[in-house]
Amino acid sequence: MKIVRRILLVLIVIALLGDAYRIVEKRDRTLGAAAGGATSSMPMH
Amino acid sequence: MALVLTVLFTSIRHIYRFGAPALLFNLLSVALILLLLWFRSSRRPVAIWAYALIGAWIVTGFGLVDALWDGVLKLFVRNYFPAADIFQRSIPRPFGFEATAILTAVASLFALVYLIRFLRSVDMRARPLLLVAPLLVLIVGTAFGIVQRSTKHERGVVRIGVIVPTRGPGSALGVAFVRAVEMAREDRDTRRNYDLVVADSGTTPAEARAAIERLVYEKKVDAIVGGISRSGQIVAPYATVEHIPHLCVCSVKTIGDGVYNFTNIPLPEDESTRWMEEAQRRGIRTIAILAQRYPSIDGHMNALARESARRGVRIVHVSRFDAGTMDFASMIDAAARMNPDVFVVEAFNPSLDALGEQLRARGIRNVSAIVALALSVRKDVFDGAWYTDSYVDDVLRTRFEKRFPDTPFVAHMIPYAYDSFDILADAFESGQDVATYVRNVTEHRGAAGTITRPAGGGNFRSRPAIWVIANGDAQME
Repeated sequence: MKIVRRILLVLIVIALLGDAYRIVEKRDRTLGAAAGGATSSMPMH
Repeated sequence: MALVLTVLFTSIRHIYRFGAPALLFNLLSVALILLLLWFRSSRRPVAIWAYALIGAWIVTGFGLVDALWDGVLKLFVRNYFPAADIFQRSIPRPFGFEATAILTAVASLFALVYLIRFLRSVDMRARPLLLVAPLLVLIVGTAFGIVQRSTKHERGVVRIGVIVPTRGPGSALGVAFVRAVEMAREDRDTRRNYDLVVADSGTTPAEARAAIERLVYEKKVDAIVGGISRSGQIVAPYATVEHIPHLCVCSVKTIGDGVYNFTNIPLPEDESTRWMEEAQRRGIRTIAILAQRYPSIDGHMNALARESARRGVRIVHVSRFDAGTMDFASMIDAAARMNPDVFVVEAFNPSLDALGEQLRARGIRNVSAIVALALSVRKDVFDGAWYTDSYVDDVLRTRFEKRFPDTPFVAHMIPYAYDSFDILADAFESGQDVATYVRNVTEHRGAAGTITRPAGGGNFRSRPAIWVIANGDAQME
């Protein structure tokens, strides 16, 4: 039983890490669009 | 062991904040082990007291508050429940920082359980406070930490970020934009107070990013209004990531995603359709284009080309030029040879007025534009020209010019800035989720007339008006 609990815990931690990676990667990809944007000295709508 | 792991993961996590010196934090583990060894050999109460309180501090401060609340829960709750306004925004953090938060949180929960078990195993009857004191540290510390790191709203205060260029070549537009938003705020009778936080979007991408990050992460604004497409393109991803409603007086259609980002100005196709209607009314069949190369101008020119093809109006000449061009003689010659019914010009100053002067010197009066002539500071050289620009409520214009006599009335900016604030204020006053409210707005009657948005769309649209220049002054027809 103890070993099952430990395996379950490890799986939960791995799942959390994986999901965190997905969230951060998606966020960075979205903000990457900001890095690609450009302003110029001449404004226009 | 769990406590040592908590300290280890915390030190790794803090490398992202403080660099390698964060690893010195592991000296705490050495101290904890020494305290245990001291207690084991001497049974001195001071040793176990120090161990218990330091352990409780580590579990509370670095485990439960910093890692679990401000790391794990913040990351997942903000991602899966964006409307839940619980956690303070923080500047985007790397995966390693988030991953070590998960590991620290798990280790600290184990550390908490083992710490309690260990303290209970130590002669509890003789020293009941030995368990109560660390638990108090834990409960009070966690509560205090959570309050400190949760969203703080001043009661009834809404912070609206205003991001426009307030210095450099675009400052005239930016200042007019800010004034329009200020006036919209003054005009409203609201339940809440609205603080305007102005950020200068500057003249480079780096400056625009710094400005939006200051608004979002430092000033923690609740919504954003912005004024220039090129900075709007930089602001929009931040609005998406942080779930902040963003209304942009931007002509680049793709900025409006219909989720958190909305544009509020006629699109190039709205301008070109209106321009072509007027051109046909005036009997125009051929046009020559003299236009600067610039994304927004490209958008207008492409829309004009599509609309002219659809309506059978011929474009007989196109000259495009770079910013700063001042000599247009050969372009004007080439265009004039085609004998067009109208010369369509579009550029920024100083090129715009130089082009106007040279056209006038050649005796060319049949000039038109999409918006651009509104930016001319020598409107006298364009006498007789007509162009499309925003519909402007006369009452608003009169009031604006009276209220801000030193600020030129920029027709292509002010009504939309005014209405954008109004839409956001409507949303906040409604008491509903602000982004959801804005997503449901499909029509708004305001300073720019009636603006509409198809359900699910990201672009508020309106019908431009025709403006004519006479005696050096532009008037709406």
